[in-house]
Amino acid sequence: MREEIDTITNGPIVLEITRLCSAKNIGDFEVAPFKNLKLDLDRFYSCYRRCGYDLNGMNSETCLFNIGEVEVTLFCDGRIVLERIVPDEFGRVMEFVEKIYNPPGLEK
Amino acid sequence: MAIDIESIRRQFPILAEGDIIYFDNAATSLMPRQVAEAMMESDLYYRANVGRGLSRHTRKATGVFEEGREKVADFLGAEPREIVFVRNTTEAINIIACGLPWKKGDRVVTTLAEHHSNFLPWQVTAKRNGLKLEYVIPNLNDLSDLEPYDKALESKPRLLSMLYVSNVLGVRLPVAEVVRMAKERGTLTMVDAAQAAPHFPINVKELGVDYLAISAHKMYGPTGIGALYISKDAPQPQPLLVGGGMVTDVMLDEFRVAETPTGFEAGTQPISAVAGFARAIDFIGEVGFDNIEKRCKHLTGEFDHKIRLYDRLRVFGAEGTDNRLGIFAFHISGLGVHRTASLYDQFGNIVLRSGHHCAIPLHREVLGVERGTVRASMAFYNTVEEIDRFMEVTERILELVGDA
Repeated sequence: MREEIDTITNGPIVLEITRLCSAKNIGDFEVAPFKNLKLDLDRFYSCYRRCGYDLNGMNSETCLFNIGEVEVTLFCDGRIVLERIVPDEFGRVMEFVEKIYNPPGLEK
Repeated sequence: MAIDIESIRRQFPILAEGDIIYFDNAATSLMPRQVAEAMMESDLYYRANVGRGLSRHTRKATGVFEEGREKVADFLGAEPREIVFVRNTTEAINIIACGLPWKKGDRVVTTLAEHHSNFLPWQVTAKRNGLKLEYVIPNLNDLSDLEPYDKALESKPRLLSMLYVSNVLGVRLPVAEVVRMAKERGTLTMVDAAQAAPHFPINVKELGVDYLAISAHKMYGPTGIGALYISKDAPQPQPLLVGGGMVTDVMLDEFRVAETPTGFEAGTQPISAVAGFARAIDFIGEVGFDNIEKRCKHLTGEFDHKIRLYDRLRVFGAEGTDNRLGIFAFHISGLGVHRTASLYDQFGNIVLRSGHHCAIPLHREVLGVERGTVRASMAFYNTVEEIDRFMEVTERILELVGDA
């Protein structure tokens, strides 16, 4: 499934969304930008912390956090692994993608 | 004779030219250069519709195709006329499930360890034909325990279908014993040997099995080609696909299906894939099953010992190397399975698989795991150095997540 999104740091980008697993209406997805991005994860991390997300770990390559029950693994090239999305629908995935790429407080 | 593993790895361009650690062999094995070359030679020099022309060119293509069938037959200890080319194990099992003449109330038994390819066809067939579908729960702590199978076979089901080696846990089920017990009760048997075929010799006549399926892409061959063994002494199913090349006559209201295997091979056949499949079998023969088994046992032991040193890693399935191959399902506590697999990729270019591995009933009903597992699966061309690298990346992941 391909989707477009306008991002604060990289402008409009095209994403390939893949359903990894699904059981009992709970889904896991991979979201991959068509062209690799270069995300400064430090800046994103600060925003996520201000949002009150549950941060699990971070280095220059990846940022691990939870938004509620959803487990988010964000890589510096823009790839995202989302686990435990309810309901397991692409529309719901895009709601999380918006929160991840465009967190409140992130500047261009 | 011992094998030179570095020389063998050079035959796989992915291994020779990259820094990848490929631990997803249970999904698809890598392919050596000579298999790709055999396929290319077929497409470039004898591309023709097999069995449907009188030219020398067509005869050459037909010869290659039928030699491929002979190689597969020889590999399985079967006769060529008992070997049907299919796309994969899934198609093979569907042919048997959909094609046998069922009677309402017939009982079919399978296990809860199955890949979906040996689960869903029976569910569908049971619903369509009013069959009773029953499941054996294999004793994963004692693989030689035949009681669950014995109990399921007590009422003489029409057919029992089971896998040889679990694609999730790597355990080798007691197929020979179960097939023998089934035969004593007049029960037909189907074996999914997809994971077994690259690792140890299979002889369908010694097993006494009625139907058995393998996929080339799990045994160093191309994707999109596999084989279904249909014993000449077993009931012959109706074909799943009908069309060109599989009939002896077509009237306005009916047709006559050709004998096995022709009757199951409708349409233009994947000739270059068969050429590649045959070359993959040659490759296995050149390495030798003795070497493959010895090396895999060593790698399995190394991995099993090292991965169990981490308290935060939960490894599913039996410990040790008895009756198991190098397929490991595990969790890192506190981490989702897809996060885990993607971190191994990011930090070490290590290819793993995460999720249910097409075995939701096994995860849910037997392992008690709803969200799947991470799987590392090895082939004989993997190395101890790669296993050590895997452990280094494991430590890096554990360091990153701390107590999370």
